[in-house]
Amino acid sequence: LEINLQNNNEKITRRSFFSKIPEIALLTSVLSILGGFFWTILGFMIPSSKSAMASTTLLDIDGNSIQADKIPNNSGTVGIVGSKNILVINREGKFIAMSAVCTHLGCIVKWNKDTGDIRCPCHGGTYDLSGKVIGGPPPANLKLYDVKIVDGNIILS
Amino acid sequence: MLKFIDNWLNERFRWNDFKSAFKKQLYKPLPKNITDGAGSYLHTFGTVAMALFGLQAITGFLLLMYYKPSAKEAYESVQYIMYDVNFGWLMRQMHAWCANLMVFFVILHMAKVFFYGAYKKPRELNWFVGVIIFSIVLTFAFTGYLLPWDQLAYWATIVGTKAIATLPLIGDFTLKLLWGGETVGDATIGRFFAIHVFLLPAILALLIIIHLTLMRISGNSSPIRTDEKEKTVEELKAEGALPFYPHHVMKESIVIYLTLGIALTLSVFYPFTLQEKANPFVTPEGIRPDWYFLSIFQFIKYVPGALGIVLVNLVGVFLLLLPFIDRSPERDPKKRPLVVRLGIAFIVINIFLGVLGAISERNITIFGKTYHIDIKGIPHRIDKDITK
Repeated sequence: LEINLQNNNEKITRRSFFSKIPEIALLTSVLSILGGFFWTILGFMIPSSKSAMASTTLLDIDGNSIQADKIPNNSGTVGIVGSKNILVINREGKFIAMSAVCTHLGCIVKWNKDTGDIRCPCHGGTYDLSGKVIGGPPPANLKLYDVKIVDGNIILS
Repeated sequence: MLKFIDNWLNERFRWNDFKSAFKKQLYKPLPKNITDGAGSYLHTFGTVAMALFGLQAITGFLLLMYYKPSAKEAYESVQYIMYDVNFGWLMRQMHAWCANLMVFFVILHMAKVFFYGAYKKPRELNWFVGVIIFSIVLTFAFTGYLLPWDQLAYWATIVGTKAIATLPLIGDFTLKLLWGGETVGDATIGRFFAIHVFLLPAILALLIIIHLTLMRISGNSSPIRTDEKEKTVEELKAEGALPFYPHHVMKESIVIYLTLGIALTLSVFYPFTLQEKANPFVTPEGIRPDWYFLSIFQFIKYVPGALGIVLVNLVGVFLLLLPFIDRSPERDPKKRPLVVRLGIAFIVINIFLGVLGAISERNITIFGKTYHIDIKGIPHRIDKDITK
């Protein structure tokens, strides 16, 4: 078995071919280990998905339930449900809940009782009480949630 | 005794070869444009940036001894450093101010290389390395900004990382990778910390070595055409060119000491204050990034969404490929009026956008008249109708 390569006169004989096997094996193993490393590193850095909690109760920053009677009429409070920041507004005794995270660049929106709308302090995005964008740069509406009051706790569904 | 050590070392690893190589570099003759006139001080900025990196390594190493990288403890540990640790305030202020000065000097250095056409053949590769160094320095600044975990740090990071998420396809994945969770939190501070204190210093040190080696191989640039032959070391020596040491080292030392003085003055008289501890439920009014990101911050207000981010990145790619785009043989700034004007325009636009970014969403008073500068930087007079 002899092959003449066009560009140089180096001949690949059976002996020289087999003598390359250790090098090829080493290269393959190093590449696969690096590939495995890369995959593992990426996996290590991506958060595990079990953080999606089943909780549906509105909690404050210390993890205590926010009671409905702590939100006065015509005011809003931001709390956390599961892993999502939620804005709850008491509008004449009716509770409205929506995502508190501005769809533009992720700032926390505020209920503005003087103008009756929801405003983002970062880039001036405004939303109405149904979460619809009525001004500014946000590309999407705020997600609205159904609210129930159970034993004074604010429960979202 | 010295002779004995010299001999001993030489018998073991050819110490004399290292010594003569070092001396050759130390006394290397420099072209006239680097050594003569006040303009020669323009050629010290790179070294100043490097000296600041060295200082950052020292202050950073010391801050590491007390800093705690977690959402629960970071803020308190920085407070502890500032108020309880001996000279803690000095270490933190110097770290923060020298970081700003480092970005500043890297920009100055790049501007000098740009205007003197020093990125042209045969130094394209080193410009390339330099632009990567610039991006590493900005990543340093961005990751370090979060670590004090106050309101400003937290929300600037939210807005800065969210801007990346508007990119199509890779945006959401990149955001998740950066945050390590559903939002900026414990996981984020952990990875920003690890990147800031381990990965980036290693990469930057390596890149600086490559940058200096390439610079030493190609020699300092002179303002001649790329198709003219540059003077060799022998030719420079023959015409009595001044050596790197002590001549240029002296100038570099002067600028480094001045910079240190400025950093110390700023640290004492204009210290960085801590805002309230980060609160994921309350976004403060008028958050904005550090000055070197202000122009980008303002630009993406006019061009929102993925397009703005893509355009900003295209500017980066353009900078990276500059030596391959601008291939004219002239280096002398007087003979490249178009490129020089474009460069000045680019700087002016950046400063203009940066100033708009700094004053937007604020009330300012000029000549007794109060204006509200809106988000896009347009002033509205407000003192007539508002009487609070």
